[in-house]
Amino acid sequence: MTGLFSFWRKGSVRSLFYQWGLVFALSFGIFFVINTAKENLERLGIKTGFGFLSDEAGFAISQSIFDYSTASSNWDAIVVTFANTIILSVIAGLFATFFGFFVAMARLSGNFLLRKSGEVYVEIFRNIPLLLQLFFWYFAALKMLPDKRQSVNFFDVAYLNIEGFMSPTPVFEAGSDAIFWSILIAFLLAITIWFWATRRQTNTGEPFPALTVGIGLIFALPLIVLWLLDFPVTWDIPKFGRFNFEGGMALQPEFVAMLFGLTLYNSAFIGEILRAGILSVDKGQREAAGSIGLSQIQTYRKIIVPQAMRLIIPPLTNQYLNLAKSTALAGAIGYADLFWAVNGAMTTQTSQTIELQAIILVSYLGISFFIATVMAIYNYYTKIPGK
Amino acid sequence: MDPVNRIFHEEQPPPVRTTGLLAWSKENLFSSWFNIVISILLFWIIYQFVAFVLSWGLINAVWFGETAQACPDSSGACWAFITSRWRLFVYGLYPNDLYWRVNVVYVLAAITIASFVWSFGKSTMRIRMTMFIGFPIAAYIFLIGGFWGLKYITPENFGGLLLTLTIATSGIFGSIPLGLILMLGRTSDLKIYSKVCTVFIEFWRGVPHIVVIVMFVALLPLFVPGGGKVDIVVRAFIAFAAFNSAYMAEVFRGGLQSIPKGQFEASRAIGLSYWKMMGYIILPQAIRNSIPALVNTCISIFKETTIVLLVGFSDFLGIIHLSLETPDWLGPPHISTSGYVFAAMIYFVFTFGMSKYSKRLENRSNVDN
Repeated sequence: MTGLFSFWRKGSVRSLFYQWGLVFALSFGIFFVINTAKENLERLGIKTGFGFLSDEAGFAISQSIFDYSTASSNWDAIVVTFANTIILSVIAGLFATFFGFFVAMARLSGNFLLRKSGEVYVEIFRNIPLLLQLFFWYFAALKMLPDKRQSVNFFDVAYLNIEGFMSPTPVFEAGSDAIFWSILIAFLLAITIWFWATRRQTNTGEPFPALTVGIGLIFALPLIVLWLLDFPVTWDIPKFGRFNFEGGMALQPEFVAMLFGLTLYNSAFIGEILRAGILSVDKGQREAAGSIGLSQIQTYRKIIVPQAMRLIIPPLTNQYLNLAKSTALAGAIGYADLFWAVNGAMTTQTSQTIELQAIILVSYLGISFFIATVMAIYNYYTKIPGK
Repeated sequence: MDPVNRIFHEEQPPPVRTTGLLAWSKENLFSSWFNIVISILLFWIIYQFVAFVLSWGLINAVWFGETAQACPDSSGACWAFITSRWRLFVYGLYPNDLYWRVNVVYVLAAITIASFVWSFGKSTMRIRMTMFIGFPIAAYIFLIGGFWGLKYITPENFGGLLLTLTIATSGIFGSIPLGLILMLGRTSDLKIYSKVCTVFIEFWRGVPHIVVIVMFVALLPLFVPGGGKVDIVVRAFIAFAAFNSAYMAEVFRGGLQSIPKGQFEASRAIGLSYWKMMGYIILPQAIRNSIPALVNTCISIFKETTIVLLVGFSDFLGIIHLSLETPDWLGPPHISTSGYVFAAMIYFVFTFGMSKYSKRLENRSNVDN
């Protein structure tokens, strides 16, 4: 079978041909697309480049943790709204995990009513689209709250009304830096004790209540410092003035609705993930733990949870990724997140769509990459040795 | 001597009942103090909840009316909002006199679903494949038309439930073949193919879906010559198929990884080429294994269709949302509540049905193994 095309019968030659073919096709495609974009931009007279970032933004942002006004630059607006996205993701993630834990407990309970209630909760909240839930909280549920003159009063320090949740804010006076430092030091100490206790237990077998001591330290040290410094922190309590609330901090209804929606929706998923992880641990493990005399709590802490964690972490990571990505829906109800600012006001003002979309893509890919990396590191340290 | 042992045993209590309502409730509701408290509390909450739902949704509800004035009382639901506008919610802006075409597609969809739920003996597989391939074609012919005497209707007239179902179906049917191709690329031995497909998949999975849709709708005309001529609804369809194919690829990859290595080695040993091995041996098993996960992905695709309202489409949720803001229905917030609760019920029927279906498939494949 020797002929003109005999070289074609060699697998390696064919594979090289196919791969270079793809490279050429892709390069051509990318070149073509970029070229078209360039022509179109020139034809439409749209500026290119990132110079617009230092221009004045000119639109207001309703929630910002940094100093921001309409005179700030576009770059400042991006930073502020990106921070809002992160704040929302982190708080909603914490809440959803917390509630998800209780959902899992309810679903695993021996009590029939509790188990069924958990099931109904999960089925309802995970089967209804998130956007619909957000609309419900923002446009229906929160709109039923009373007017600001008839606010729901929480012990004269916090108020709930249609304009949001007014809560007191701490005011830090001179010397309060020491509190932050003491919290940091307490955390570092707790981690050091944890490492030391683990090493000692693996070497000598002697246990040490590292968790209790650590948590105690994190609470006690800042309190002692506070007491030594004669409490340099006071509270700014909201008060109803003539027309409006003054002082304190207002959690906007947009933020509250986002928090409600994201927490309930994701807690249903997280509850199922935790439950599946715990159920995946073999029954024999539980029985063996009981037979060597471990208590119920010890069985969970030392036997079930460490093994369940390995199965829980990958889907849980995915859920956190989903949560962070779904914060982009915030614009639908007017919460000032990154996507709302860049895709809305900034696009209409600068019309530099390509650069702005690139900024959005890079930011969200960055968040996804960060979460994936943290979880990969965690996975590396908790995987079964030798597997 | 009497050989019989005359020691009398004391009377024993009857054995504890292990069946029946009383025994069941003792074990499942009142086994400990904690459980007793929880059970009573839950009984009370459920009673309150059911009573509220009945009085709000049925007894005090207003069923008919043309404007928000029909429902001044917030103690009951305002179903009048739904009954006076249901045509808009179901058919969108589809021409009134052509509703029958939509109805035909709805009936075909119901038959397709039925063919996947019930089994028909030997010809089950053939019927399912026919419906799976035939339904999208039939739906296109009837909904858009433009030939055989059927008047052409642009997709821009789609709305309400019709648009939601169209986007969901085209997203599902478009992303399955694309996902298979991507999965084959990612698991390929050809390094460059695998790298390109991995980057493609991870990119789509890393960005919010709403960003992708906005990108396609706003940027397609800039990057592709003639992209501005593509119908805006079609652009959304393409975006949907594009990012969902990445999720589908991962679903199929999961199915592929569950195939034992021996299957690959055996097919190679009897001299099958890569495509024959994949087509006859590996993919049929891999796809079968990934069906439960595939249905779960379909559920999220269905829920995700709601985001198209953010780029200006009036899908089912979008049209209800818009209707609530028309002057006729602008009113107290309990009207919005009724609208969203109705929308939630409709979405729930679809997604819950799909999730039950996937559970059934999972249980059945467990029995098989």
